[in-house]
Amino acid sequence: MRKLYAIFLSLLLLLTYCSQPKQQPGQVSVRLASEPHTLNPANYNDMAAMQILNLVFQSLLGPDLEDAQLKPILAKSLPLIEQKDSVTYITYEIREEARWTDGSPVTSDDVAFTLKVLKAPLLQNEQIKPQVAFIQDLVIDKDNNRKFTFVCNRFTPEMELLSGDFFILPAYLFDPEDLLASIPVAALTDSLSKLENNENLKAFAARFNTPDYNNNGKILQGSAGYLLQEWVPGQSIVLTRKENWWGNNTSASNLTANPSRIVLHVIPENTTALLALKARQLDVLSDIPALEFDELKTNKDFLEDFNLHTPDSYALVYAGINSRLAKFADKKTRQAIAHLIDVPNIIKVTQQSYAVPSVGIVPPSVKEYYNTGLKPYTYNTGAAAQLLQQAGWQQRTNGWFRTANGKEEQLTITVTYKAGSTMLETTALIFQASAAKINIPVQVEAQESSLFSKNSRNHSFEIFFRTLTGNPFNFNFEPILHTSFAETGGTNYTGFGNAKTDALIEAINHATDKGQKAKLLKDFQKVMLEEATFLTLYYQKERLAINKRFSNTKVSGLKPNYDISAFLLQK
Amino acid sequence: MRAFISDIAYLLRTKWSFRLAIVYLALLTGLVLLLPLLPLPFSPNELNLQHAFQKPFTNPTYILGTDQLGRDVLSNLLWGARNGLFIAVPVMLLSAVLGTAVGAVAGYFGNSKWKLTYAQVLLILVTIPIVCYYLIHLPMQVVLYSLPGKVAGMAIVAGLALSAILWLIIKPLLNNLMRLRQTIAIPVDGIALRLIELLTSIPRLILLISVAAFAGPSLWLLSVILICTFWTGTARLARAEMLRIVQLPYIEAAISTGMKHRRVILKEALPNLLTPVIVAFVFGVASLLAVESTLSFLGIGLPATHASWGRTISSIRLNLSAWWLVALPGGFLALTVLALQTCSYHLIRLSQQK
Amino acid sequence: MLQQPAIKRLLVAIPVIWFMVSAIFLLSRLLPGTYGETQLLSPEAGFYGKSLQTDRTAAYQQLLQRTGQDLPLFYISIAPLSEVHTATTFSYLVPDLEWHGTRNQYHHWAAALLTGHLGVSFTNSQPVSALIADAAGNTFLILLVSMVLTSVLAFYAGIAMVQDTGKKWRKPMLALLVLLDSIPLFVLCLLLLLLLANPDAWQLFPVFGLGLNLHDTQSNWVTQASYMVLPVACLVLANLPYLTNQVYTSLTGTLQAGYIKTARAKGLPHAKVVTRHALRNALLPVITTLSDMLPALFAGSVVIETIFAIPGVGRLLVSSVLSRDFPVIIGIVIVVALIKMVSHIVADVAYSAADPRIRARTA
Repeated sequence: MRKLYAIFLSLLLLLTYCSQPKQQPGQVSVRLASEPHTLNPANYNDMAAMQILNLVFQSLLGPDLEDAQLKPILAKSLPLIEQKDSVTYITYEIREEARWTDGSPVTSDDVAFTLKVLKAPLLQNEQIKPQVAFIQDLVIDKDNNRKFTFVCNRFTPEMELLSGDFFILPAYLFDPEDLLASIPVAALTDSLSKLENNENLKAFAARFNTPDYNNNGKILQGSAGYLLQEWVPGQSIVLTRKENWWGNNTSASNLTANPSRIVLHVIPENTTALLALKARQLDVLSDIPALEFDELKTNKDFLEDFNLHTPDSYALVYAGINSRLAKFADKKTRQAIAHLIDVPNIIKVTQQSYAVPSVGIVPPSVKEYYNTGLKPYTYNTGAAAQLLQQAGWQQRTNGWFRTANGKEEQLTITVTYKAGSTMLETTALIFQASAAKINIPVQVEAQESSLFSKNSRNHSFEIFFRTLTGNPFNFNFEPILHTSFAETGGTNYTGFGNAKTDALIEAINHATDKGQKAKLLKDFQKVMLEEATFLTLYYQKERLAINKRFSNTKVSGLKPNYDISAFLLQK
Repeated sequence: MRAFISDIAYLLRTKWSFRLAIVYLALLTGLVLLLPLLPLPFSPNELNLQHAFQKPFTNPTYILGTDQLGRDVLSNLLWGARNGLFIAVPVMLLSAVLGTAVGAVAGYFGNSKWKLTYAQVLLILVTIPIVCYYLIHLPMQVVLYSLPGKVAGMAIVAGLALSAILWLIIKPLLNNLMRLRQTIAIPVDGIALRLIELLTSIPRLILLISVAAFAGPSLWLLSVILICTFWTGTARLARAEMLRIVQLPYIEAAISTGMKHRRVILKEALPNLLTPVIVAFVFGVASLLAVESTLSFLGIGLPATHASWGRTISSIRLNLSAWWLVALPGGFLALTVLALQTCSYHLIRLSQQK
Repeated sequence: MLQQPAIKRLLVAIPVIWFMVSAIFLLSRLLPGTYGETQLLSPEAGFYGKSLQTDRTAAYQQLLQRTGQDLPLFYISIAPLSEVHTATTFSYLVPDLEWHGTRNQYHHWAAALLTGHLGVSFTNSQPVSALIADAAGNTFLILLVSMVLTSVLAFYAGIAMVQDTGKKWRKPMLALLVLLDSIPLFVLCLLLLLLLANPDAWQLFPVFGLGLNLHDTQSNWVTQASYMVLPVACLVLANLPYLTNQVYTSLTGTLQAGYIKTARAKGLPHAKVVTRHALRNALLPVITTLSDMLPALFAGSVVIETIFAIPGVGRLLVSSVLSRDFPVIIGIVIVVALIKMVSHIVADVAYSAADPRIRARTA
């Protein structure tokens, strides 16, 4: 018996001795909360994949996290945009030093090939395809094989962003037999059924729709500074820096590949990730729970090795009221509800004060457009009761009642949110408690994510809480707030809008002058606040920790909140 | 039954730990039943955002502290006990009854003892699709597309009428045919085992996620799924015991004297099954209480407005230093299980002594 | 002599398994939504429209077509009820059946399954069998190690408790087990993690993963094992109470039986009576419990794999249910069902080996 214990104890000691993995200096270890489904640059659909693909492939344009500005990456400069009638021409030129892994230059033919891959039928490209549907054709400059023009349908302000937003793929590697060369880009725009029997396309599909194009580092090679070295499913993804990468010789500060090796560990559970960070097994951790973040702030041992950052994010939490319902059709009822949302306490409890209340949809951190002259609704049950009375509701001992079309109805509210989010659940519970103070019964319902999005799409909800991610460069509110998106299935879930607001949204989109745009946006915030259909509660602050070994981390409110490729080891 | 009561009385007189456990369980039952009448200072869902994460025994208003929303832990514990037991006990009771019935029948009859005529088998095979279409499919469609209720009513009437015609009119006709009067052995044991295998091979998690996708978390659906998946354990144990009991000499003797199967099972075999069933029941209640909190951990448990131990425990994830949110409900849970355990332990001992 | 019933059982099992996986295939499609539906049809709208709804719907149709989900589910279908049907006539009382022929999802899937193909994942075109094989290695290693450890410990504890020398241990031991049993698995995992892998407490073990040390090619079994200790310990601790209790109750039960009393009356020492005679009979209920523990272990592995970041079948299952990757879901269920089926058969054979009276009936 004693022997057994002795063996057990010595084994334990041995294990302990060998168990601590050591960090290498030139390596950055990052946590992924969920594994990417695929790394196919034509079919990825999650943040994790986007973060990794940005290290392997390059797009024409991209935001620089340092100053949140859209900057050229593969392109030499920002594009030239011309509008002629209902057609927009966007002209780019690729940097002449840009090279693929094998040393060959990146040319317009690669861009044409990329468009074909993204637009063709039969291929695994459904996730990215809708984003490039507006590009009708590509015209290659006859004198310069790095210059080309996108021919696009109509004009929207985000076209500049979108036309440079997709990853450019190497034709030599993806299609060595030139199967797609015979198909013109324009042929992929209209009716696609003819092409479904094209032998070349079928042959390419047989090659492209294989696992190799989803996870194989030998195929997935782009023009950026890193190579996908290894992907251990469910565990980690390893990237290594290219030798003599072309980007090192450019002067652009947003083209970087500094760490020699990047390891992304898949760790789903927050607690585990936090422990790994404390054990120095991770160099970077974002999305730290607010309470834990507060705890880290006071942990001296931890602060010796890590810097904590709280950049203003572009993610907002909002309450959407379904204004199509008869009981919420009156503006005053909606305003009353707005007075029942206790935003300061919600921020305190769910974000531990790492959030900024906002009057509307424009982030307070974008100072030139934010309307500082407005005051958000305050939590005030008296004001709410008054507004309800003005809207025709009568208070009785058991609730609020109103007679409409000869039928008496009680004011009841069902609040829904996506199941699994503690933050939204807490928000809903606080709202329930506030509404109970003036006798409005609120039912709180968590809905499984696909059911929740289906209900939002079909407009079968009363009030929901959800999050929305914006950005600092584009303020086109058409998809979420214009009435042309309000039909069933459209993305204007709340039914916000009338002719006046529609005109305002269109004017914002067409404003070219910054001052005019600011004025229009401020007006729009005022109207939105008054309508009280889409109630912005607050903009979140990101919470992340980065090891002090690194400088030039480019911490930003834009996802993924830091640029690993820029990390420099501090001497 | 009378013997069982006298057993309990005997145990109460002689075993102090049994007495303690029974007193605890009785108190808990009384508390849980009378809870709505008790003058608790807070309701379990009452928020007090100024007093979140209060430590226990420091604030006289919140004796056992508060959670991240300032909800009183004491009232959440008590209401959590009520909600937990109100699910666990009926669910496990039904599961145990169902499981014992299936297990006992399967173990007793085996694959050869239960015989039906060809006519009966034929009719059963015809009745099943009728029941599925008229009594399940049509009413579900009515609910799904919110059609008038009279459609569902008509469907049910039609289904019942068709079954009645089959069994009351066609069956006597079929019995006139010589060939259909021959009997065939029904492999009850095989069928029961396959059914158990089918149910246990689908991970419960998939079932729960899919149901959550249909209707959102709800108490009734959760209970139904738990019953459907929990009875198999009892059934397998009951069947295993029954296989052993049937071989015992006195049961064989009872059968050979021409006693009816039903009587043998109910009077002779079932009392012998009591021990494993009680063990399964006790552990079942305990694991149901744990299952409920695990589901909250994965985010697919009871609705968020339902006080439960699981809800309180899961808020530890927001603040790892709030030990009381795990320790108090966890301790309460452990104590309850311990009491149940002690009772069953003594009952087992007693039945073995006899 | 024992092999014959086993073969017979296997032959009977095949149609049952077929029925089972077919039912699972059809039932799983009742899950609302399919892969890509959420992302394509209702993306989280931002400050600009990334794409038009019509383009997205077209892309979704292409996805359905490429993955064969646009076909009807089964050979026949019952047309859904509609207002027209039910408003005036009673035509809904006659089922409106429609025949689709072999161009249906079930036929394609079943035909592929017969040739040994489980299909390819919707999300990344990987063959399902490869995905499961990758994940299963880790899960089964952990399950196997913890199951063996649990059984050994349970028998050891059970025997110790019924022996005369172990009497004083019995009560505290039982209480401890009950206490252990009442802690939900996820709390247990978090507790062990916070106590034993936390730089603020004791950092004895690595925190996450399975320790395929990428930058260090010298990874050997010792470093591998250190990553396994915590997950295995959690599973063992979680399942130990139930199994020990089963062993203990059935041991005490058999010790009361007549022939044991005879053996003791013959003067055999108590320890020998237990190990020689009682143990064999006590095996019966324990075998049932062991083969029944598999789904519990599997459910446990879901929790453990999430918390310890182990890439196993449990996590693969959860992530594919969430993304509605049907081929992977069904593939996993088939594999788990097959293993369960085999373990049931093994349990039955072991049963008849342990109790000769049953052997006569099943043969």
